[in-house]
Amino acid sequence: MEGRMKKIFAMFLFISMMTAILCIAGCGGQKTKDERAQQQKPADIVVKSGESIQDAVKHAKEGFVIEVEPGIYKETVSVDKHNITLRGVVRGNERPVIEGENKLNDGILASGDNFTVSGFEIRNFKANGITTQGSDDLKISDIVVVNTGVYGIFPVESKNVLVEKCSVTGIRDAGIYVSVSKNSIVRNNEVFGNVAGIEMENSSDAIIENNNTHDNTGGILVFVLPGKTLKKGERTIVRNNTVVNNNTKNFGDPKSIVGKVPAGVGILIMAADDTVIMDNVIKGNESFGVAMVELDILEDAKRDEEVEPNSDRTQILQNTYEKNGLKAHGMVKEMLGKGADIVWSGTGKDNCAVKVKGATLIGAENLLDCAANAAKVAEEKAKTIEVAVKSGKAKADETPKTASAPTTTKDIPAGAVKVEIVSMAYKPKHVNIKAGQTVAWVNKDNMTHTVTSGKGTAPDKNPLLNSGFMGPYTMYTHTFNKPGKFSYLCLPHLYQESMRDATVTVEK
Amino acid sequence: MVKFIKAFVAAVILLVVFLWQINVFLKHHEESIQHVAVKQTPTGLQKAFPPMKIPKDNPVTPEKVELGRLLFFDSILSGDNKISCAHCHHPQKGFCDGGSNAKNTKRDSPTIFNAAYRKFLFWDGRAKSLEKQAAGPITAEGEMNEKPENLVKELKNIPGYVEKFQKAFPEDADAVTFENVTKAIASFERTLVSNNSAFDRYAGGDDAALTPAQLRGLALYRSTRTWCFECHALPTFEAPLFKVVGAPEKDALTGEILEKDFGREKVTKNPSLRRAFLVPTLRNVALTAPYMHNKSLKTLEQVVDFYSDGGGDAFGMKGTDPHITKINLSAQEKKDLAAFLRALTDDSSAPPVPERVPSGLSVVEPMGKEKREDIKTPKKNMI
Repeated sequence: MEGRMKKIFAMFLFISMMTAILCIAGCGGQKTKDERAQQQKPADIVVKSGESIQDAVKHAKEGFVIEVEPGIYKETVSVDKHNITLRGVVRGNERPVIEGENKLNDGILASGDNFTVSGFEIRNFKANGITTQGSDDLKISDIVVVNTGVYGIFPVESKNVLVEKCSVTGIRDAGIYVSVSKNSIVRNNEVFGNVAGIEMENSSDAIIENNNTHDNTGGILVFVLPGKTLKKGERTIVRNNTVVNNNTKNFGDPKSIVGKVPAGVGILIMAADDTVIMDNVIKGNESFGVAMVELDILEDAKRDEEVEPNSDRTQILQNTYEKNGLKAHGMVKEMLGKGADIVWSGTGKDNCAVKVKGATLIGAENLLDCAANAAKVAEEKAKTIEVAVKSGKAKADETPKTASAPTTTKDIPAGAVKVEIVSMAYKPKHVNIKAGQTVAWVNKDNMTHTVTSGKGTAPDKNPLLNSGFMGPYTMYTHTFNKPGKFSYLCLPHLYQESMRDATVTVEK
Repeated sequence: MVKFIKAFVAAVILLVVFLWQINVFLKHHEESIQHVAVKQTPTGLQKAFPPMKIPKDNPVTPEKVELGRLLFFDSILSGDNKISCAHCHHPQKGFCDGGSNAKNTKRDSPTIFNAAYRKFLFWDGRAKSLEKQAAGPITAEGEMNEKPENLVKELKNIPGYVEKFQKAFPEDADAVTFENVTKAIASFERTLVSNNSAFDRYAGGDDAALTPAQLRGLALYRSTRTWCFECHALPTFEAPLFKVVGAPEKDALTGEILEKDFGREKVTKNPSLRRAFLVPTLRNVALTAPYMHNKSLKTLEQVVDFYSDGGGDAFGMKGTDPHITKINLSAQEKKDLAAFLRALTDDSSAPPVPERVPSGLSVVEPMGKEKREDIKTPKKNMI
């Protein structure tokens, strides 16, 4: 009987485990379902013509969908909350218009993560259509941008960016401009009548695909520029785009770097590394189809000693070239006398090209042949970028890093009393607990703090509480077994009243 | 059979408890993510500061912080024992001097708030650690003009200091050294942080923390109309970049022609960096007048005007940054931008001025509260 019971127990334990596993798997499935549901989620707030979109954002909570009815909205909309969807309602030819009347600076300014915006026309601003700073998991789709000043759609310092199905025209610098970002996809856009069509700058792991870039000064630019916080631009894949007749006279600010791009530029790679150009149709660009140059061509590379100015390991693979370089403009004419389908300034390491039959070459005849499997390797690489952008989990692999943080992101222990560190204060400052209970200090502030035993501005010699430096968004726990009153302070902030003489009172 | 039923019931109970526990675990797991994960900043404007730069051989200890504080306020550190660090970095003037030492140095004294987060120090970036930086002004001829060996000799004659050095550097047989002076001052400076301004409270989710003018100013700050945000980047409102903005080489108040200063070029011998200076932090900028590396501008309004007119381009300065262009801000926009700059004030980590220091020398004058308000609002007669 004893053995049988053991068996039964073992069996039930097994079943329990299986059920648990199923539950966990099921919960996981639930989550994706939730995510799917969220995509089609009905509006939490509807903004009607005559109302303000900014007001709706002000009242929105995280996760809200704000639906905007067709109409004219004369305002700048700032979105700093996370998980906000701004959905323009498109009915036939009608869609909501964010109108700047050439008086306002920006259409949409955003900094929140997981920001989704679609279905708007944005027009007549002085600086920007949409600019986002530090928004991760960003989705911008089906936006019509007309004459919004310096930039059309401009994400900066983002991780996981998708810009698709947009139309951008009349921009004095770059129509779609991704800067200092990681994992970006720019696809299925029509970008025309701008100085630069699409610009990828000081960014890594990007795909620019299936775009129609025509009648700009330059079609697609892949750049590394000096004086930015990120010193590199790597691994941009430019594929399946049509890059046609980008011959518009440069109407940018002559002082800006893009303002120096000569007319007639198809695709220009400057100082970026590991760029792949494949399967594009490149046609009728009067200066050149594709060129690969070093930073000094447009900008003083020595301004930034941390930037490596050459384009290295570029792969110009199979593309269709037609009638490029027939009437070189500006510095191309001055430096080379004429244009070509593929131009190489001769600098940089391990650059290669597939010398397509009939394509005209300047300098590019000296390029190495590309590896036979280069296209396949690029496609594999593109898949990893697609997975990252689709995941919507820019922050998931980001563990807070601090120099000496002994705490890590982990669960708050069951039954623990929580003290948050917010805006330079312990909240609550005084807690009462029973012996044996645990206190969990969660640093929700944006800078490093400590929990160190001590009174006033004097920390104890051998502190009972000794968190060490707690980086932003980390936790420190301590279990109090003996009764008493324990006061503590924050070592780097002991001159701030809110960060000293905090107490834990432990009762028997 | 009874035993079997008992076992069955026990197993079922066990199963239920087990599943319940898993549920509890999952719930806790979820909750903890909500509270501890990086993503859960209240808004996208609240960014995490980078880790503080603390050298391995100089961990922050309270003893060092306290010693550093006393040294910072003690005029014993200067050759003639008349000025202390605090004379040019006054805790109630944003750790600057309010321009009072204009005649002694050609460059403006930078704030010490959040200096612990900086990759480069000094306007030309010639120091990369607070320890190295601290040695500079103490020994500089035009500044404190002290000889290290003389300072050590003086400190060794003050029993109060000898004891404090020994406590702060217990592992050193000879604790009173010039190196330890700089280590203690650096440790003190690492406590001078600023991240609780009105802007920070707004970034922390308090919608009422900024006035409408400040909110408009914030929008302007983030716009590529001004490009402020790129060099004076969140959350430190600075970046480890050297930029040529072309500050006037003429004093806006006196009209005096100021000495030419080639900045970063002199350190790197790189002519492309002529007149390039380290981007200063804008935190506490309302407290840190005068402005620019050479103190040429006196009010935030003058600084806003300067950038609106196209920086040095307006008076023919060459080689300025591509983002420095004439942007013609309207009067309202200028007011809004200045209002936002005044929302970056938080000097709550500044310690009180000590009543006395171990040398017994006199300490800088503390300032009254009413005086502080004067700094916050622009004086009309200053323009």
